[in-house]
Amino acid sequence: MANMRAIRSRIKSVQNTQQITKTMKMVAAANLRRTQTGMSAMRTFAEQTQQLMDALLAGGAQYENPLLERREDVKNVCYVLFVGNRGLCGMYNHANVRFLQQLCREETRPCSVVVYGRWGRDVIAQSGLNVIETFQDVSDTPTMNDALQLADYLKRMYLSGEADEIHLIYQHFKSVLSQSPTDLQLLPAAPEAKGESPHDYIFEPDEATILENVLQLYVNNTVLSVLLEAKTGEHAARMTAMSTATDSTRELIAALQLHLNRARQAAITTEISEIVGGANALKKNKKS
Amino acid sequence: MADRIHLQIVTAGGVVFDRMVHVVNLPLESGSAGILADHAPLIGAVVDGAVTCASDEGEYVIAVGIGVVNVVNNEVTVLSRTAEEAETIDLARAEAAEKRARERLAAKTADTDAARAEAALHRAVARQHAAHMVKKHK
Repeated sequence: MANMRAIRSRIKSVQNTQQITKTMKMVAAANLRRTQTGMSAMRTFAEQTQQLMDALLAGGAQYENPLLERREDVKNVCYVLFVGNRGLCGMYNHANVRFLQQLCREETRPCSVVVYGRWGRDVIAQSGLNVIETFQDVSDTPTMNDALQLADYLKRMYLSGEADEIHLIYQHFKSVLSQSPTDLQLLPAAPEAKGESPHDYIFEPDEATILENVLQLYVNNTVLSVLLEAKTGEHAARMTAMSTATDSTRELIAALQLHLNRARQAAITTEISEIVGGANALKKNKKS
Repeated sequence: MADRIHLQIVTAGGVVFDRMVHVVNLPLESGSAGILADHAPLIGAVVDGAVTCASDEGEYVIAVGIGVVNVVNNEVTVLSRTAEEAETIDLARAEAAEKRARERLAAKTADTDAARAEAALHRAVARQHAAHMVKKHK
């Protein structure tokens, strides 16, 4: 009988877990939808920026701009590592950290790391990465303001010479089921002209000033898009992980239910055989 | 001949303003510039300030941050770091931001980022200016 009670409480606790994983899955799904809307809202802006780049860089024009210029003597490569705010999202965070460790090992130049996200302070501390800054206050559904804060910080770091190259390490969002760690160079920027501009533009005041402004927007834009992509990936990974977890709890509950039924049946059988045995014994007593 | 311009003000967060208008005033690096229909193709550097425009429904004021404007075929597209309709600006907050920036510039300690404080100051002043402009119209 004690066995039955144990199984019942076990089922109860698994059911509680199931409720939590189910809720987390739904929250992740809602966040995922929101970040995906953000990603599509950016599209107009990205297209327009590209058009301007085309107009500016048409005909292979070269400009001098600190954000474009490659530094010959690279003293510090800065990696920005995008992790989630919490775990429970499968391999999402670990894969990112491992990818960065691999990069740092192969990198011959000195490198430093800026962590963006609350997850894994201890894990990252033990990973042997040279962390110089951690952004803890990260929204689950990033907005322009979050991106501007990070973009301004990175631009300052680059222009002051603290870092000579800035790379963003994040999970590239292929689909809800598949993300892969990616290394994207943010600065020095390497914008590409994708086509010739069809118009003969007047530049006001001149190309260099405009390019500076476009580059500022380009950097902000890149940071926001990476931020959104990383978060979308995180929510997708969490959704998948929690969906799997919910499925396993369901299986576990079914298995436990079977055990419980068997135990109950066994208990009933024992009771009946005891009663029958007792009755038979009484009969024998009467006869004799 | 067309007499309307399609004005779009876009930030990375999305399209903030999208209307057909008669005339647009832009805060460019070299001073304010009015754009009418059939303007020649132009790419200009936008500074912190207010974009004003007039349409059939009335006049609009939008505060923008630094960015770029692209004028082509009666399409005026302002790409900006930030943009908001002046009516929604919280004047008290903009004033507080101006005060903070001024204090930071005045203090001038070693770790003050003067360029950054100045940029913040410009932004705060431009936003207040835009907010006042709306009030005057009403």
